[in-house]
Amino acid sequence: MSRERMDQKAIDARSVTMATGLVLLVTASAFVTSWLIGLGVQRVAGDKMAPWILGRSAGVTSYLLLVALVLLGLVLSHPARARIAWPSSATRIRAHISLSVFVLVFTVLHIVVLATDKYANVGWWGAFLPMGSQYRPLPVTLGVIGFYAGMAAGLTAALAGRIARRVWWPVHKVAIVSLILVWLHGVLAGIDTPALLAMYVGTGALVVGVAFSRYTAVSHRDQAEDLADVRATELSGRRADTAPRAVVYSDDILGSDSRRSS
Amino acid sequence: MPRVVPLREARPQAGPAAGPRLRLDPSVCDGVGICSHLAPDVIGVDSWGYPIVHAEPLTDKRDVRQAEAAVKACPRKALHLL
Amino acid sequence: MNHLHLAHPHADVPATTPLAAGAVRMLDGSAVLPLHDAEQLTGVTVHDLAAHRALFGPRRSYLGHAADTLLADMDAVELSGRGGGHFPTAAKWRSVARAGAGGTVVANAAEGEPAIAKDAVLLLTRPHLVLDGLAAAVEVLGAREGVVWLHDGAWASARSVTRALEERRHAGELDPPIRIMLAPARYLSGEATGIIRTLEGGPTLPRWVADPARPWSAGERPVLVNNAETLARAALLGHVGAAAYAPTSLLTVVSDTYRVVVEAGPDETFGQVLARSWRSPDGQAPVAALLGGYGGSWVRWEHLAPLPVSNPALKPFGLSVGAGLLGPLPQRVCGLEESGRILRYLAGQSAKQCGPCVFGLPAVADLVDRLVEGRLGRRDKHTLDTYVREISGRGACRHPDGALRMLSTALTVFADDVARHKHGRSCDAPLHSVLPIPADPEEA
Repeated sequence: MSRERMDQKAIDARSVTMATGLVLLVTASAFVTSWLIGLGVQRVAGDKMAPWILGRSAGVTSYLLLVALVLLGLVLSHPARARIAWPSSATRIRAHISLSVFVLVFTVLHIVVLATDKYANVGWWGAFLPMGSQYRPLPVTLGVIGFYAGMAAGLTAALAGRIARRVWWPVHKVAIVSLILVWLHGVLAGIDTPALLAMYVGTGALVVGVAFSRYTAVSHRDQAEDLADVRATELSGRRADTAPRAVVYSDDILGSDSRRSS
Repeated sequence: MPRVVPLREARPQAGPAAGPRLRLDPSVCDGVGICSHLAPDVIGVDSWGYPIVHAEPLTDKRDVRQAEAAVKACPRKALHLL
Repeated sequence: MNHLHLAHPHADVPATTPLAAGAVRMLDGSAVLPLHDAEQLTGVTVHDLAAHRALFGPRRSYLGHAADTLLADMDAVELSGRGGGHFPTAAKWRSVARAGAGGTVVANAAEGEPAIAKDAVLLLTRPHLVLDGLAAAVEVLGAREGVVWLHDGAWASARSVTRALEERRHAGELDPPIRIMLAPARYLSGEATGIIRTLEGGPTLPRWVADPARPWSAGERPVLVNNAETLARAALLGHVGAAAYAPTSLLTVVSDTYRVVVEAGPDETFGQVLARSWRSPDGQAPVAALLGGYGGSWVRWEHLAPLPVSNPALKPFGLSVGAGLLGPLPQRVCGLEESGRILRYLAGQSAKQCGPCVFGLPAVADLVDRLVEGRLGRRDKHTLDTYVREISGRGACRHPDGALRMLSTALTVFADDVARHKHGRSCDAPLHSVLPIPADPEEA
C-alpha cells in the first residue's frame, strides 16, 4: 500500500473519530446537564412529583421535535419538493440537522430524569435495556428501541461521507420506525389527559398524511422508468410488410395549386 | 449579426499538475442534497435543489477532501472524482 | 439575455462560393412532403439499385488503403455530422476506430425533430446511398454490423430500406449484416447515447458519459452513431472523390401546409433557397427564421437572407445549419408565442432523468407564458435569467441547452414583441402558428 493511501486512511480514521466524538460529546453533555437539572429541580422544588413532571414534559417536547424532524425529512425527499421555493433546500437540510440535535438533547433529558427518579421505578437498566423497567415494561421498551433506531438513523447520517458510504441512506429510513415506536411509547404510557390524546392522534395523522403523499406522488424517476419501458425494437420483415401504410409517390398530394412555382 | 456564445462554455484544459475534477451524472441524481451539505465550497444548489458542480480541476486540498466526502455519501452514486 | 450581441446586419457578410463544374449533388430535385408525416413525397426521383449503380458504379470496398483515402477526402471537404452537432466526421471515425474493431455502426434516421424530414427523404429516394455509407463505415472501422435506426411509425422508410436490402441481397452484393431498429416515436429517440444504451440492452433514453469521445460503457464494443445524411455524404464522397463532391446541405423548409426538403449549396444564400422553396401566406418575406432545429437559433430574416448555406460561413456568427431546419416565421405570426409553444413541447419531451431539465424547462416555459400574457414582472425577469443560467450545460444530454438557445435567441430576435407583450398589449392579430408540433398522445 502506498504511503499516500496510508495517509488517506489515517485521515479518514481521524475524521470518523472526530465525528463520532462530537455526537458522543453532545450526548454526554446533555446527560450531565439533564442530571444537574434533575437534581436542581428536586432540590428547589423538594417535591417528589417535580422530576416526574420534568421527565414527562421533556418526553413530550422530544416527541414533538421528532415529529417536526420526520415531517421535514419527508418534505426533503418529497417528489414535489423542487416546487417549494422557500425555505431553500440548503436551509431545509440545515434545519433538519439542527432539529435532530434538539431531539437528542430532549430525549436524553427525558431518559436521565426518569432513570434517576427513585419513584418512577424505571432505573438505568430500564432506561437502556428492553424489558428492564419495572414501571410499564412494554411501553418503556418501545421507547428504548425507538431511541436506538433514532440513534442509528442519526449517527449513520452524521458519518455519511466518512465511513458510512451509502449505508446511511437505507439506514436513514428506519427513522420512520423510530417515530412509530416512540408514538406507541407515548400513546401506551403517556396519555393521561384528553389534550395529550388529541396531540398524539393529530400529529400521528399528520405524519401519516405527509408520508402517504410523499410515497404515492409520481416522481420524475417514475416517469423516466415509464419512458424506459417503451423500448426500441428490431424490425422483422413481416412487420414491415404488414405496416399500416404504404408509400405513394404521387404528383398531386398537395392539391393542384398548393405548390409554389419557382 | 447576432453572435450566439455557446451555452456550454469551453472547459479549461487540465495541465499535468491539475487536481482531480468532480463530475456529476445528472441523469441519476435525485437531488438528495447531502453532497452540497458536505461540500459547500465545491457544490452549489440550483433553484430546484439539484447540485451544481463545476468542471474546473480542484486544486485546493480542502476542496478535494470535501469532494471526496460528497462522492462517498451520495446514495445515488451520481458523483465521480475523475 | 446578456449572451447575445447584435452587430450591424450587413457587416462582413461572406460571399457565396460557386460549386465546381460537374459537382455531384445527392438529390435531383426538391422533395415536397405533407406537414405532419413523411409517408409520401414528390419531386425527387427514386433510385433503385439499378439506377444507383448506373450512376455511381459498383459498391467500393474500403478494406485497406481505400479507407485512408476516404478519411482524407472527408477531411478535405470538412464533412461534419448532419444530425445537428456538426462534429468532424473523419475525427469521429478515427476515434471509434482507435477503440478497436468488432463494434457497431448506426445510421441514425430517427428524426425526432417534428419539422425535419431530410433523413426520410434520403431513405425513401436514395436508400442505397445511405446503405453504401453504412457499409463503408462498417468496413473502415472493422465493425461487426450496421444498424439503420428509425422511429416507430416511419413505415415508408422502413419498407424502403427493407426493399433496398433485398435488392442488394438479390444482386449478390457483399454487405455486412444490417439490421433495422425502430425507436419509440419521441423527440430524444435519435440522441446518440440513448441509441448506444439501447444496443447495450438498456432503455432508449440519453445517458451521461464521462468521456464524450467514448460514449459506450466500459467493456462494451465501440459504437459509431452517424446521421443518415452524414453516411450518405460519406458514400457520395467515396464514389465521386473530393474534387467532384458538392458540399451541400439538406434543408427542410416549412410552409403552412407542406414541407420542402431542398439540397442547398454554398453557392446560394438562404434568401435564394427560400425564394424557390417557401410559400409566403401574405406574399411578404418572413420576419425571422428558426435555423437548425427546435433547439436551434432564431435569426432575423434580414440577417440570415444574405448568408450562404454553408456551416463554415455561418460559424463566425454563432449559427449552424444544425439538423437542417429552416422554419420561416411569416409577418403577423407572433414569434414569442411560437417560441413559447416550442419551448413547452421541448419541456414535455424531456427524458425525465435530470433535475434541471425536468423542473427547469417547465419553470422557464411558465415564465414565458406569463411574458406572452403580459404578466411578467420585474422580479420574474430576474428569475428567468437565473433559471436560464442554472439550467445551461447541466443535463446529461444537450436537450435543455437547445431549448434555451431557441428561447434566448427568440427573446432577442423578437425584442419588439417582448416589449409589446410586456405592456399588456398583444401582438397585432397573430395569424396562426406555423411550426408543427405533434399532438400529445396522452391528451388525445
